[in-house]
Amino acid sequence: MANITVIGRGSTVRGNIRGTSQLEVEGHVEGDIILEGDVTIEEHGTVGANIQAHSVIVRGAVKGNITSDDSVRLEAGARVLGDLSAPRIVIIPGALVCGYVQSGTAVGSAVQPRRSSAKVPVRVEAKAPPRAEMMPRAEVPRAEIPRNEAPARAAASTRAAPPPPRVVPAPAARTNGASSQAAAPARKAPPPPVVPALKRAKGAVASKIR
Amino acid sequence: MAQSKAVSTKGHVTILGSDTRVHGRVTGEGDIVIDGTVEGDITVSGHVTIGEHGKVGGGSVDGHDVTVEGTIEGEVRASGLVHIGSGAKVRGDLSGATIGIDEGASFAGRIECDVELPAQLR
Amino acid sequence: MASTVIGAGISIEGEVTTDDDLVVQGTVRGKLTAREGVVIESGATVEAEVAGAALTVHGSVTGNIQAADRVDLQPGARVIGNVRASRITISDGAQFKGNVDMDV
Repeated sequence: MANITVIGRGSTVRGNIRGTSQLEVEGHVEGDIILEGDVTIEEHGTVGANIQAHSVIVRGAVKGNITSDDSVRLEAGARVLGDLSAPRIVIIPGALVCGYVQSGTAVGSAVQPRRSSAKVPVRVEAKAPPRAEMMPRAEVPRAEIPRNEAPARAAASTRAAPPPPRVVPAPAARTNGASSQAAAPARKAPPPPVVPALKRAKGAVASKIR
Repeated sequence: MAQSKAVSTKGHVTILGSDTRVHGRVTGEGDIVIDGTVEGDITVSGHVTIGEHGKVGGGSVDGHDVTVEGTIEGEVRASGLVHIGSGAKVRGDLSGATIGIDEGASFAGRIECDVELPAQLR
Repeated sequence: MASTVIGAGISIEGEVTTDDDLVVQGTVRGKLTAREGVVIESGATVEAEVAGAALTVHGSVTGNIQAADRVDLQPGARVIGNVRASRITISDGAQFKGNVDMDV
């Protein structure tokens, strides 16, 4: 914990930052940050690349994806253009973010029972890599960290763009829904209302991906 | 807390209690507090509060401000504040002038808003 | 206070089902099913099949009404549709057009 790296105001780092220490950015970083410690992007700090760390606090600006195995906290004044992924994500009103955000694990478990079973495997796949990557990270020596970068990125990208894979099973769900609706036009079974509901939600998500 | 605020601010308040289920579209003026279940779109001019037991799915939620303590599956659009409380589970895209997510909330979706980045990052 | 209130500015198109007491001040189009009492207040517009334990109507209802217990059409009520309940009152000043079935 005593090990703190500070990129001061007026300093610029071009290149990746890796290690185990804690990092505070008050200047400008143009390169990926991959740390086992905590990262704080201070008010005037700017980072133009991806950040992966134990926990991340942003009060400055970030253009890139932020991944954490603990928490991401965007405080008032933060500006983030990129995706966020962490078990705990806090966004203080006044922070601005534009991107795909995934927090917690309860969303998946709460929603899954309502989804058609066809989609469950897709979700499990998407969830598995980050967990697998997180577990070894704690014990593996720091030399291993760069190697973890690739799966982590892959995981991030699968998470960053989940709508496409989820859209794939949609035709099946759609036809199922249509046929079950056609077979039973009366509102006897709850599934028909749910299926169009999912279709709509998915359509909305997909349409947002420009 | 958010609920009592929603109830007291405007004259027209709609409350859908925890044993109430709506399948269809909810539109209109004023504030709405949802502790029950709504399957469909909600579009109101005032403050939409999805209470702890509230569930909204199968449509979008549009309001001036939206506070979520319950579960939403669908898009949330507010002209003002979107506030996702600590017990909330939200799956869908968010847009609003201001967005806040409390610790403990589960959220998966895109956040749409205008981010003006400093010169170094453009 | 009833636990479900559909406020004056609000319009619901679709189906409302509740185990609570229900107060309608706004508009409901479609179907309205309550297990307890339903009060359709003055100024409310209901264009729906309405079912509940006890219904009190001060506003406007277009559609059939069915109550397990009773239906009271209060002064100012305007109801077009059939009413089915074991007890029905139609107050002076209530407008009503439809059949009454008291399950005799």
